[in-house]
Amino acid sequence: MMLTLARRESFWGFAFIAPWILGALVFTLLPMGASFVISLTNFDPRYPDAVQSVGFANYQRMFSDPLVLQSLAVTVKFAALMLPLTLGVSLGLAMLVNNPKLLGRNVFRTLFYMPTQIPIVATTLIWQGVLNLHTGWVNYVLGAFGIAGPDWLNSTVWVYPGLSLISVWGTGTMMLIALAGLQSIPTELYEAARIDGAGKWAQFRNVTLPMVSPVFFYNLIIALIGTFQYFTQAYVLTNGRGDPDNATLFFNLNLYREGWRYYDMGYAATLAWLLFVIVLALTVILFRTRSRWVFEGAAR
Amino acid sequence: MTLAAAQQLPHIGLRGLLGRRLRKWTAISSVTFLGLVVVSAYLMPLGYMAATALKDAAQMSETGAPLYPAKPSTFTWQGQDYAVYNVPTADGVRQWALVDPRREDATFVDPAHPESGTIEWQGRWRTLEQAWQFGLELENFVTVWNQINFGRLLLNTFAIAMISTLGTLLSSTVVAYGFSRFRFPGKNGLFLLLLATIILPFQITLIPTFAVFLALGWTGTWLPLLVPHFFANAYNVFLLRQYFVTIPRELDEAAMMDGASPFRVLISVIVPQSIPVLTAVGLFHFFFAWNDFFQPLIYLQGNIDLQPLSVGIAVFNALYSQKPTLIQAAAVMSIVVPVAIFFFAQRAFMRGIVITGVEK
Amino acid sequence: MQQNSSRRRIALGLAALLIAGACTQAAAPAPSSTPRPTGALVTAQPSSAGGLTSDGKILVRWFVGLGTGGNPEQLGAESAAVAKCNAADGPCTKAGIKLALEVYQNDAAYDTLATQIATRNAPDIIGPIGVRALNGFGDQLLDLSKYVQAKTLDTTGIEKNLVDTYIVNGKQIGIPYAVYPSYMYYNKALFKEAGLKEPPHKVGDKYTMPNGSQVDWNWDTVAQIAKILTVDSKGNDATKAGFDPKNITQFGFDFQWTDPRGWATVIGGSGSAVAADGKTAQWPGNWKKAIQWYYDRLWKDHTAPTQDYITALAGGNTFQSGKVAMDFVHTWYTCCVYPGDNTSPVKDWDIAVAPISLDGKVTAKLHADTMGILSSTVHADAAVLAMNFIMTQPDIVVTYGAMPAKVADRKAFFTALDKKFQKLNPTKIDWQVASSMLSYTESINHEANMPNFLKSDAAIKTLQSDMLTNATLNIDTRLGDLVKTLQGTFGGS
Repeated sequence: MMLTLARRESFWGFAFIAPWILGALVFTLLPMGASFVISLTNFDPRYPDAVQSVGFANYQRMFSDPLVLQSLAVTVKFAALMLPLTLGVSLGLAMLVNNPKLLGRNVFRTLFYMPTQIPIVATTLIWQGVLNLHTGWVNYVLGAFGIAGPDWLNSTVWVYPGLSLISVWGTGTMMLIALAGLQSIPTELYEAARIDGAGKWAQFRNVTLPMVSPVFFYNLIIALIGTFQYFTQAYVLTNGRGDPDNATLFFNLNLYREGWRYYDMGYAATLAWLLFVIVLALTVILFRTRSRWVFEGAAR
Repeated sequence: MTLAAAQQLPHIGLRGLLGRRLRKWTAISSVTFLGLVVVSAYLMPLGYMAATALKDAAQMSETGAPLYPAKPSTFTWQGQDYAVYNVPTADGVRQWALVDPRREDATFVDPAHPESGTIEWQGRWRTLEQAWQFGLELENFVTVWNQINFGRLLLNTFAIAMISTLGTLLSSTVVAYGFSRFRFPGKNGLFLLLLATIILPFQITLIPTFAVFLALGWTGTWLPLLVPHFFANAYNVFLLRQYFVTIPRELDEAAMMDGASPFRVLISVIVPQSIPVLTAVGLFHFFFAWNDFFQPLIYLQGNIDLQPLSVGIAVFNALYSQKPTLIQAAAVMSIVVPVAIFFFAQRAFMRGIVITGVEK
Repeated sequence: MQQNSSRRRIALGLAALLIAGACTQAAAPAPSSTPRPTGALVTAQPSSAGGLTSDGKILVRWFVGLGTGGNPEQLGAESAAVAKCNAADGPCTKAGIKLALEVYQNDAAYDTLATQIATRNAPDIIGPIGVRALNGFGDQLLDLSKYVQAKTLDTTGIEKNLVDTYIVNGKQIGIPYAVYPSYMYYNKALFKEAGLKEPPHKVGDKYTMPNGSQVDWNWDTVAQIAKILTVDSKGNDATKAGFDPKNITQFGFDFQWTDPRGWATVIGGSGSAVAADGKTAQWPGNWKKAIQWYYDRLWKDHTAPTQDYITALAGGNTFQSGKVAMDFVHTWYTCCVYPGDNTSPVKDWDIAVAPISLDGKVTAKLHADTMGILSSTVHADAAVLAMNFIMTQPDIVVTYGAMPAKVADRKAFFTALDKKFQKLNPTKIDWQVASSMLSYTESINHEANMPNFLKSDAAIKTLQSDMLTNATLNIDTRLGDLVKTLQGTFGGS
């Protein structure tokens, strides 16, 4: 009797998850295997019949390729600037639009979220105009304060702050998540803190921050994965070349160039696997150290 | 109590009330003011987009042109158009048309008195301020509409987004239900595998996936954009499952007692309990599908009749890369629908997000 | 949260990019583009299906974008030609063919074509194609010799050496279609405002400087008058002490849409980045001087726009913005100097001969386009017929700015251009300048093949970006690095 019940339950369980199993096999696992096979070849899409096995040559090449190193350095540099900035701004905006003293909060939320709905190519073009050294509005504003604005997109130094500004503009979704985190904080916690004589700053430090830390952690993971897959903005701004002087040769852009500019698809597949391993490792490390970042009491 | 004290009482009360109100309104207006400042800075690029979309192409490379949409004032004299400048003269600033510019002097004509002929002026015309007239170039929108068959693109986008949203809601709900309510061998391992596919870079499976759809003969149709969504999305499954486990089991057990099948339980118990989270998942997916670009681009290559807005806009951008006014007009047109939907659905959206919880 | 999901999907989408490679194009503004809207619809049917349309006609796909042809202004003529061929009494219909047009913007086109070939979904006709495309796809092209012999493709009236240019590995992979000599476009209004004489229209004529002296029309002269033609917002030109390079409103000259090999060839004279042995990287002395010369104009004199200014001037179409006095470009630029109605074209312009290069000779770099048929086609005869029809459509030739390879057709071409520009009163272009430049083309094409072409070309493009964005380059060192990099790509994979 018990056995039958367990069997029945198993049957229903598998029946319900069957769509995913089927989908994962066809659309994920199978292609993953195929991709690994491609990484062992010299596949050139222009000559599909001339494909040959090259063993692990692509993997060997990867470790001595200066552009791979450069692309990783670019990605890390950008992440170091962009991640704290977007995380901080999204939390700040979330606190603002969560403030009961703000009139028209729904309108504000919509307005802050709006930029994420603009197609990413259009967003990049807008910023290309806004950040122009001579005619851009950012430098107009800086000029009004007597500051000579930099050449945001053509300088190997300023291009990172420039691209970070574009990322900050797309922080609407992170803001919504942070907002959800803020709204799930019980108001009693603040009341208790007030009774203990905590000021605004102390309330922020001792209540808000720990309580939103899980959300923060979540945003961090997503943003980190996103950084390693960063592509479109750099591509649009540099015609896919990584200008100036390879300062925007992000990992994905390099991968794209190898596969689609130089038609070295086998090597591109190899780089894609490197990307997977890196992202996987970072995610595992973050989860392993989760307890240091995240206030566990908040976990449900 | 003295008379005076008695008289003061209501007075104090009134003042205290007023004071509280005043403080409340000061706080509200200062926070709102702060909000306005932040939002204006944040949306400055949107202002640039809107202003550019309404500008005449000629304004774009004119240094000293105003930031708002404007057209240079011109004056037609002897069959030719000439730009008008604000020229300082002994009688104050006059608006004259620049007929013949030279480096250290120039010839003007006074549009008010063209009959009196040309005026020689000493000085550098480049230091003069050009006269601009506020003017919106609505023609940009018309051009975009005509160039890219906007109506059809809109319809395609809507259809793709709706169908794939439906698909992912149906399939992800079923799979999430399976993971949240049933014990079966290998369940934990499978769930981990599901989570792992979330961080899988798409690059890895891109080429082979394309080959699969090509072999199926699906390229050039919507099928590659729609069918995979009917096989559950790992992310959505994860979210829905997290929510489903919070629904008390007693509810489905009661239904089971009444003889309901597991499928019946899903429909009559779980789904009605999960409307907010389903709404949130659906809306997120809808917005994602609305802006999805690479998949439609790849799979609908060449089949322009089926392409969605995102691809149409990108094509347009590439073709008109040297006409920023048209590009920005197209961008403005492409966000109207999602922004409107977000604004009206915002409450349901937020409720769904909060309920799902984030950190689980 | 879901949110994530949307993010992730975006990320996924990016990846997808890869797939299509092509796709990328779309991503890019300038660069990329995509399948674009044209009248003809192409369904992605693999040609292995026999390449038949549903009504039993032979489907011939014409792929545009590897050379000129991807501009919105050119679509009209291309679509019209296709419609004409497909009309009830058109040559395509009579032969049972349906011609379909696919236009891709230049950068995207390479990726897209590779993807289509890889997925066995290749088009039949590709073109117009320039040298770069020949280097990428030349060995995929069908040998057309038998059609040339049969005069299905008529090469009468085209110089033999031009026809032979397209014999690669013994195969006639194309026939000359269009030639694009280069010369100096100049803005007459800006010369007049500066009180300068216009540049010469005949090779050998002198240029009259403001002080009345007669000087050679060489790049030194260009540098001098460019200073007078470069002006800041206060009205100071670049010869004045108070000139402010941060607020320039008008530039002396530009080299639109070319790269360091192009600059070096025009300024320095013929040369090559590949030594005679075909495998050693080099950068000849005259080319070194030329690069230094141009770099000085960019950052010392500030008379040529740097990258920041280029993006601010009509989205990169600098001469058309009316803020550039001289621009050394090819005949194909007639496409874009007047981008169509509802734009503000440079009204008053003309063309002048190429200045004498640093090596003492006049060198006007030459572009040439051909059309070709991919060898994967399953109906070559039909494709040749359709291609021949396209190549002989006068409207297409004009919209491409493609000076016909057949000398006899050139007069009609210039007449048609005059008609196109007649709206731009008072401009009347002195077209003999364009024809005369054909006698001064370089000995080695500046876009010629290099080993591992695509990567080597990318290395040269990186030099270009450096020169346009970095004010502190040491050109000697930088060129030394380039040669090293090139040697690596030449010898590399």
